Amino acid sequence: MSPDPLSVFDRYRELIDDWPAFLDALGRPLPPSIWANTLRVTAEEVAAQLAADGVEAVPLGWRGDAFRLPPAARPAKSLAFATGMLHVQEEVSQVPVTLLGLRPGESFLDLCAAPGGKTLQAAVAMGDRGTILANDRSHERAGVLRRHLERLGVTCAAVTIANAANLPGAMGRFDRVLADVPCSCEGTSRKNPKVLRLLARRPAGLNTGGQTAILRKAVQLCRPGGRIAYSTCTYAPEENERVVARVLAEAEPGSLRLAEASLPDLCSRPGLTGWREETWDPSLARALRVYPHHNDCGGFFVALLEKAP
Amino acid sequence: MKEQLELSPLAEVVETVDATPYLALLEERFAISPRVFDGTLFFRPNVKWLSMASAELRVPTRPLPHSFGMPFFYVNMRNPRLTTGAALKLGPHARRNLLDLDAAGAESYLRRHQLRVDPAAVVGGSGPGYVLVRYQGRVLGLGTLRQGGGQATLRGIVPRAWSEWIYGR
Repeated sequence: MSPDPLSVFDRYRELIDDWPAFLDALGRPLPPSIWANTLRVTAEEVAAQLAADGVEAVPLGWRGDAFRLPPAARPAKSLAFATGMLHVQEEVSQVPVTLLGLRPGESFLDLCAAPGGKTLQAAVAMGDRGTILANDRSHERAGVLRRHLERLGVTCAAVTIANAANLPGAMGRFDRVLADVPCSCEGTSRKNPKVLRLLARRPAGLNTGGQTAILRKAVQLCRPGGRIAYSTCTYAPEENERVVARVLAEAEPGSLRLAEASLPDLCSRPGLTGWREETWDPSLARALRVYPHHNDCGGFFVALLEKAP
Repeated sequence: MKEQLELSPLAEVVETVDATPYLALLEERFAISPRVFDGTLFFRPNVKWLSMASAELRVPTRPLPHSFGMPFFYVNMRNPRLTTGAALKLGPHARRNLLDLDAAGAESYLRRHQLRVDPAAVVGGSGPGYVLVRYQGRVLGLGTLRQGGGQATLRGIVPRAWSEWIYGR
């Protein structure tokens, strides 16, 4: 008899408040989420268009211009999508850019940008004003990003193709930097159950060297007084708090701190300050963990760092 | 080498292009005011098209970005035209040569089929040529209108990839 595919998550049993509810959520299909391209239309117009298409759109409690749709909805196949009225982005994936609090005219660097949901979200939040540099190491995936930028009508973005960790430190400084790093993707298992098979072969928590290097680069390329969001779609503390703790520990005293990462009406849990034999900086409790059973979404981690002025 | 801490204005990194002739085409055909493009820079990333980018955009010089802004106008053809992305973006500013389709027509258009249309359905029509195609008041993209003998046909200009977003391959 083959093992339960969800057994790859057994090691998190002690971290999760309601284990049966967690497993139950993982067994349900993920409802798609979308947000309105307010460069072109209002959230109300998007909701009306979806209603006309027979799709019930429920506003996210923590983001008024974004909606959760029924699990059977296929918004990426809609006319509203093709005409750039909306973009499809998992609810939790919208959290890091929201936490960065981008404003028109600022500069934003997305280090691992493709396929582009967070870059696009940033462009809309900035009103297509200012500077966005979207970087990805994959030429092909960057092409997907460019098509979405065109579909949504974004003119304030440039795209680089490079390994994020190897970007030159002298390339410039940004007001806000996002390090949404490649990870073991445990939190995406509802959307992509194949990830369970991959996790059974290659457990989470093994790619921390690359993740740490990207976060170091994010800190380097952020201007003094700026903000960095480090995010993953995994539960693994090795890829989350441990990476952040390491970069915090390397920083000059007083030069880098964790800011509170929370959003009203988004149910989340604080970051871990230790796991198994390890203990980390107590300020890691200011990071944010999202579990699928709390918001009927995927799993996610975000730490928000501030550089001293 | 001195560390570069400031990004460079786009106009210092790429050779900008005077897009006045193309803006004039848009004004003539669609009554899109050139003022819509205040704060926009134009440049030619390749032989096929002009791109448009916000003049506020600042970029690094190393690595030089692979692309900036978005494609704007296909220029290397007999009848230069807007890209589909630019048509979606600029369509709401148009006042002439707008063709409204019903649901069946919109689907045919998006499926890249040629369709017969009523010439009288063109808002502010000024004869054969490019039209901005709308459904329920929203611009879907660009098409070519051909007229003759009291009839008109629309040839949709929808990128294959965009059509496949909706209908699949």
